[in-house]
Amino acid sequence: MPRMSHNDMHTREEVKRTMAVLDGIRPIEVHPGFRVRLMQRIEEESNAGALTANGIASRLNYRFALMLLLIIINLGSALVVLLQNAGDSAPAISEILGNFGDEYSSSTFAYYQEPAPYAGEPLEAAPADLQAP
Amino acid sequence: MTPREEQFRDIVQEHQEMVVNTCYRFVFNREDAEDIAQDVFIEVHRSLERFREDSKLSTWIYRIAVTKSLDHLRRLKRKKRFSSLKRMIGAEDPAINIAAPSRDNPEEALEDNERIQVLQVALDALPDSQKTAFLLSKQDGYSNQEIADIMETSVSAVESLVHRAKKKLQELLEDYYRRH
Repeated sequence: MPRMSHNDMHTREEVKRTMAVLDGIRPIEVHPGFRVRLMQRIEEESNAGALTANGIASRLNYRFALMLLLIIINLGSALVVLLQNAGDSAPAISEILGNFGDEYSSSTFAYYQEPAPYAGEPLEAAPADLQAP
Repeated sequence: MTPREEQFRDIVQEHQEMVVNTCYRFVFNREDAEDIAQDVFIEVHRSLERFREDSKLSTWIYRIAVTKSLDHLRRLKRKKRFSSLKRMIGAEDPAINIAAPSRDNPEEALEDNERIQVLQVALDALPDSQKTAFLLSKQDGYSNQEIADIMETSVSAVESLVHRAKKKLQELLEDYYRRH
């Protein structure tokens, strides 16, 4: 077994003593005012919490009001645009409907030829044997 | 006093000693330990209604204490990094306050203080799981089963973590004392 040098022995001794400090730490006694301070802090925190909650509520109210205002402005501007376009678009629509009617009633798209009576020609007389007495 | 408040008062009464000492094991500073313990009980007060009784109430409280202590150490680490950066650029150099375990002899207290500082640096180098298992194992009142419950792991895993932590600490301290 190799012999330990003086330095090594010293190092080991120091390490041992340092580790022993940890074992030698005595438990501390809690300060008598610990609980009083704790209860004060809890009270302060709950008060602050209530204030924060109120702050959040008022901030939410502001947001809600702002949102409502934006919606009203949007709806209002949409209505104005619609009303402005209403006058211009009315003839356009009737025009389109007129065109539509013309196109589909033209002879190109007709399903049948109009029968002769409707063409204004006189009806042919029935043969004599078939005529009623 | 409402039943809820009464229940909370009893919880604080019953667990404050253990919570403060658990935090103290992590931060080695009485004031910081008490501040963290306060945060722990505030969290308990806030979440008591959500406690689902999957584990014991004490286990749940000590788990919060461990989490808060680790958070504190992380914040401290960030602060230290920032202060060394400040030192590099020539700005102020805030002293890191570390409280030593109480000793009657001032010389011994000073020596302990130095050793605690060395230990803290070494503990900082450990992963959180090893650090937690090791520090809780050093505290009276925690069985390996309780540590396992707090860490949500098995007893054998805790034993392994403690063993690895000790080995790593030993190496780190040896390395430190060889250089100094």
